[in-house]
Amino acid sequence: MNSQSLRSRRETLAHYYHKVPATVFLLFGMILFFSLLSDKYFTVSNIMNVIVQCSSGVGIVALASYLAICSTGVDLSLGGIVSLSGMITAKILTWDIPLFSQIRNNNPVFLLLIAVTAAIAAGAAIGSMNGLILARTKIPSFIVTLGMYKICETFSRVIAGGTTIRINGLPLFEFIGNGSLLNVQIGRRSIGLLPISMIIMLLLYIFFSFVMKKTRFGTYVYAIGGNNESAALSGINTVLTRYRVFLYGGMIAAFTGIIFTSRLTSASAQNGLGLEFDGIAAAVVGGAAMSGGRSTPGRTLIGALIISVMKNGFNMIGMSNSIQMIAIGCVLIAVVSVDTLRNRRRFV
Amino acid sequence: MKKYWGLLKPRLDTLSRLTALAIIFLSLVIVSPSFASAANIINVLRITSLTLMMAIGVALCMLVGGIDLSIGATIALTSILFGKFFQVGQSTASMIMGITGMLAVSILIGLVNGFCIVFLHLPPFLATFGVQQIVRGLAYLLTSGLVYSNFTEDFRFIGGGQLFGIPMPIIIAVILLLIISFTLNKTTFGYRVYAVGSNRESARYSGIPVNKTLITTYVLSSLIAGIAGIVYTSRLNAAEPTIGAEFAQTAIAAAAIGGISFRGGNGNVLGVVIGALILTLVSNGMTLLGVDSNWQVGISGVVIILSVLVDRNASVRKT
Repeated sequence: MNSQSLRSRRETLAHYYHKVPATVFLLFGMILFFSLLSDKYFTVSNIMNVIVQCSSGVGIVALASYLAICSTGVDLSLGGIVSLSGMITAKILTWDIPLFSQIRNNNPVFLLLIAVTAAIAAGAAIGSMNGLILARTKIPSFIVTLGMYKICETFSRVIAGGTTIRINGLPLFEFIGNGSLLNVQIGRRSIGLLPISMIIMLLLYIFFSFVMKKTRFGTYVYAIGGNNESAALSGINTVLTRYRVFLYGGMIAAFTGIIFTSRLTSASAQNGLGLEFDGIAAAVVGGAAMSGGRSTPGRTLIGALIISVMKNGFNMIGMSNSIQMIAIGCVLIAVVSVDTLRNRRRFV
Repeated sequence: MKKYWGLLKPRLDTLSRLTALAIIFLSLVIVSPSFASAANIINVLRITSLTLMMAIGVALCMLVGGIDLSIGATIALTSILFGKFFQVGQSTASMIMGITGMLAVSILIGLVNGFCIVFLHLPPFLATFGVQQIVRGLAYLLTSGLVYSNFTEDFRFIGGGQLFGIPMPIIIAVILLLIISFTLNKTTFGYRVYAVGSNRESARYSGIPVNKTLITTYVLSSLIAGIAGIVYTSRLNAAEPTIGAEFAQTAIAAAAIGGISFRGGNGNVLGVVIGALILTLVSNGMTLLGVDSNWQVGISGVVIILSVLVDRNASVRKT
């Protein structure tokens, strides 16, 4: 067979069809299912609603979960980081000490920059604590990140001081979570087609797709996930890579904290707690294996969308919270078992 | 000297854990005058017994190389079921029916866990997490917002009563502990648990019924959670779907502090007792010292990380 016919065969539709992950069909199936049950489901406003819910909740956290799972760990501290970073943002924006009051009056944009930087720095600090302990000791990531989660929750609660911090009169900050670049008028409501939170989420996903595919770090993460021993023997600095995975995870989760606080224009210590399990569910539905080394950021995004579509859909067709939990559990088990059974057949 | 070292070496981890426990205990005795009173010690033991029950179940799963995240939800669902049964008759008969129902449902949940792990080949973390979602969803669905309470004296005796001056939860936990300890150390099943946890493939090739062992382990874990659910419901004198949200995490933390390895095949029941005691002592001590409840959460997090570090196997990582 000459090379030309090979190339033409590669470029057939069937080839691209096989490249599409099966979860895409699940996602569209679900959207179809909910559209049939509720006529309000497949509308522009609701679709944008799902996307904003995704990007201010499970969407970005799922990326951090995926990184941890890909390197055979699990990061339970993400929910705590979301809560803490959101709280720090709110606190700095509303703190009544002379320094911050002055900046707030003179240059609110600068204050916003300080708040966002501080939130991401807090995420990085918690993430690097995770990473330092995990890279240097053999304590399971479950335990370390669980401990860190509790530490984050404490700091968040202490900063909150038992109340909800409300942020008023900072339209620029509210724009992060609620704003949009392109608005259309449908009926009486104005709907944003390019929400800022979605753009942030997509940028993070595009950036990490690039990182995981094209940089040394990405290859190292897959190598560690595949086989830690052989990765170490082939000269990969596994300690540093593991450290960076959790450092980046913390920073990514901090973005969710900022968006979450901005969307609610308030921060309470409860915000974001529990998101870590949603993130794990999303990453796994997207195709990540707990044994590490599988899936991509793109697939994780599909997983996060599936979780968001399900939560929103069950609300729209008037199902209670309890049915939602049962459905998410069932879908998780079903998707993962189909995935494992397919893989077993391929390799065994 | 060498002879003694040979005796000592395999017990070094348990010894260092005991030392950590002793240090925490002694420092609490010194710092807080009200700590060493008999009433408080019994109180600590009573709280420990509940953590211990759940931790033993999870420890079994961790010994075969798995994990069980579903125990909190199991406790919630079973206690709701008891509330349902109890509402029907409010008599001793309905109580016995309720307790039987609780145990039956917990066994069923264990079977589902085991089925997902053995036949669907799901990783235990995901299988039990999915089952946990489903079970807690069912618990919410069954209550429809109600809280069941005011159970009969007979039932409240299980969690709140005393036998010969010893609170019932402690007695139940000790009996459970002895049974599981005996099972792990003296029976074929216990031997199989360690074998499957150490190396599943070689266990399979040496003719050990791996699947049966795995399913039995998960059933046992859920069953123990069911028993803990009875004690907890009775002590609380109420049943609501929100209970037990952090039970799985606490139980896993206690087991990990007690030296049960996440990779399986390593650890013993005594370690779990020490782990549960350390966790309870720390939280009890903080309450006695009047530590702000916000800080208590974080300090317990630090304690969890630090006490796992005591383990020799967990110390320094090269790669």
